[in-house]
Amino acid sequence: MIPQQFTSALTTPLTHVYDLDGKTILKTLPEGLLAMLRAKSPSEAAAQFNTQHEFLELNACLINFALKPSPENMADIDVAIDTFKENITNIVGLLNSCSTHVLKAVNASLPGAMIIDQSEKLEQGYGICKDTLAVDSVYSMGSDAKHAAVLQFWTTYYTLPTGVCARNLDVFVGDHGTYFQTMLEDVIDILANGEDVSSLSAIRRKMVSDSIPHEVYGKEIIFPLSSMAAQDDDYLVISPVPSVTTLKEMKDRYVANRVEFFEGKKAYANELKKFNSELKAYKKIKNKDGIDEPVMTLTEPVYPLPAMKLVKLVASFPQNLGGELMKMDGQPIAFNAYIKPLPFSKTTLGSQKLVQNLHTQYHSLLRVTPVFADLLFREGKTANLRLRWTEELHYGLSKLIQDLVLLRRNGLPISAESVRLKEGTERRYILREMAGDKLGRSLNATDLSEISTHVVNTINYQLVKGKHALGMTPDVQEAVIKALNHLFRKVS
Amino acid sequence: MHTLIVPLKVYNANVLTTPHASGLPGSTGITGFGHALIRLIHQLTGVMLEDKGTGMAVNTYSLQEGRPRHVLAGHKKNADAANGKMSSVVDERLATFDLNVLVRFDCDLEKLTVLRQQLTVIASQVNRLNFSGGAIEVSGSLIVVEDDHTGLAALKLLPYDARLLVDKTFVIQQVSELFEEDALDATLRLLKKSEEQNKDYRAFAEKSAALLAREDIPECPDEILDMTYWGTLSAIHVGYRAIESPRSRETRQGDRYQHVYAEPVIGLCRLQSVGSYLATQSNLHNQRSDAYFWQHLVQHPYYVSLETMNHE
Repeated sequence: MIPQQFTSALTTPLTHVYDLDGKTILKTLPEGLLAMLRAKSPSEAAAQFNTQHEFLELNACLINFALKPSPENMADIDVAIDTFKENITNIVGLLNSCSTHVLKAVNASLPGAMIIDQSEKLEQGYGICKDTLAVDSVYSMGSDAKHAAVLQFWTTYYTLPTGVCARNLDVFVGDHGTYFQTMLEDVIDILANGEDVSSLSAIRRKMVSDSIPHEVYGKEIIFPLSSMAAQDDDYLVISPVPSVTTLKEMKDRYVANRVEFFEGKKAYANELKKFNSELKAYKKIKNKDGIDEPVMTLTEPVYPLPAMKLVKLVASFPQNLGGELMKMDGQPIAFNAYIKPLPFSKTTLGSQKLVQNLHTQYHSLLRVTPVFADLLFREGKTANLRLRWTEELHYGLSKLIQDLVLLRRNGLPISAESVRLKEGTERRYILREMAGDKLGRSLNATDLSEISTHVVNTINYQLVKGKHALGMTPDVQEAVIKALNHLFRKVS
Repeated sequence: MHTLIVPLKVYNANVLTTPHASGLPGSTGITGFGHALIRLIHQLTGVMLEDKGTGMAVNTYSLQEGRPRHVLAGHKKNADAANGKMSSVVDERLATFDLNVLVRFDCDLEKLTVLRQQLTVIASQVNRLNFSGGAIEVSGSLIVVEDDHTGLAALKLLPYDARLLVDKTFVIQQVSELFEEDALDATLRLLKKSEEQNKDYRAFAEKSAALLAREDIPECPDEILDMTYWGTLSAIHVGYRAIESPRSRETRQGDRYQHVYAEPVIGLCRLQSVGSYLATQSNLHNQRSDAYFWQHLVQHPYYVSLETMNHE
């Protein structure tokens, strides 16, 4: 809990900050102050200073925090002056390395040049970018691990006497007016105690007015500015620099979604364990009268973000990337896409054999199976049997012409140019009205009778070839033609 | 307008185009290829065509397979790895495509005749270009489809099960307005919805039919989202947003063109099969509402490649 006033933060009971082993005490400081230093967003910060002396003390605390072990009185200005002198290169270096866009995320060998986006946020934009994200832009700070010691000095949130939440970084650049800017400059002068801090104002000038490098680093994409750019030689060179804000936002929302999922999963696992033991006990009971069977109340949570994954950036050492990216270990979260093939099934056009037949010019697409051939020879003699036989014939024929009809209806699984069917009639039937068709007209009655005749001829040919006697009897043939006419008219 | 179909095999195409999106080449890569081809045609035949956008239909796609370098460098397992006995890893930065690129252009009849005559010459030279940083090989003959304003005639020449990349970036803004959230949340919502619908299509179909049968218009935004079938949505890199105004800097081209630093913009695309696309287009009144051609769009500070009809 962060106290409302900075002075009351100093009087809270002392607490310790431990090393990774959990035993060695690194720092000792008031609880309220530690909470203030650990606050990550402006909404958490509340400690307010009222006078210039309080502001000096506040900054002394921020500087003293870098000292290991920390002084007994964190607001001791004399100690702060010594600390400031020791850390002056880090203080300058940290400010110099702040950036809203990171070149090193493109390529590790690029310099850690300062790039600060000064352009205005537009109300509308395309896709996901600076304009369409509902957050303020974020800085990535620190090009060296040593800078981390003084991170608190520039980035701790506090409240100005006006009630506005601020950081030294914003105040120094002049976001909160010249009054507080001069106040901070005075404080820095006192802490520097005669040391040269003129480089800080040079950096500020660079941040405010000259924040994008004059040199070109990274990729160069040549972008046409009009549809006749090739003729008019009208191009623009673009060098991409990933934005820290987008990287951070994607990670934050990914983590938030994941945490929710894993909590749900944990609750589900506990519930399942309880349910299983109850069920086991229930099964052992012989007389189950009046005892309800245990019921599982929760459903297994589904992973919420299948479309996202970790992406490893090119840098070999994460500390090369700057503060915000360092937190991600050089592995930001990215959207993941994968082009899945259409579902494969033997009955649909994905069938490999069918594709093979379309490519070769030796086979017809029609196949007379032995079962169907048998059907053709046990034609019913009585009226009732004949009726049943006709139904079966319809079914068998629709199976036979299935490939033809589906190809016509759904399109080809291969390019129309590469279809090499032997049978001209089949080819015409499939491609009519589609690409590759020179006539370009719909199927008429003649075409349908043509394909029906072709099917009958193919059946006869295959029956003779398969040594099933001499083909169909005229009676059966008539019935088949009748059925085919009906079928083709229905589906074409 | 006419369409030129270029069947290609692409090796080692870059599919990690930004740190924000992976798996697909950026749409600037698609339009960039179309533009480069138009320049190449001008160079070879002297015919200058007007760039009207580029589409892409993928027949097959696979990520680059290989073995991790540390395995190959290891002493004991070196031989195993080289002989292919060890399991391979997938390099998610690179992909191999078998695809058709559809370049839409405009020119007069005279130029078109010259172009038709020179198609074989062009086909033999296309491999001088790159597609999204990958080496290419022309896998068939180039085809010119005349008077193809909607691009549908060209599509009918392609395999029906090829996956077409259709721009859906405009939906992000619509959904973010509907739910009063920002673009990133809206994109996540759409991707989740797409996943959910594809996982259990029957449940979606029932829900959607029930919603469409209702007389009143649903007020709950979630229900409005459920009424539409979104298909397979994917995030894709669509271009750049400049963070400064164009300046004169020394680039590799000298100071011939102006230069800007820009941040990447992520959009949304639908992977739709050609058959499905043709079916939807024949049903709709407005045939171009879903057009699959990506086009360069310049509106400072935006330099993006999108389907321009939905964004103008």
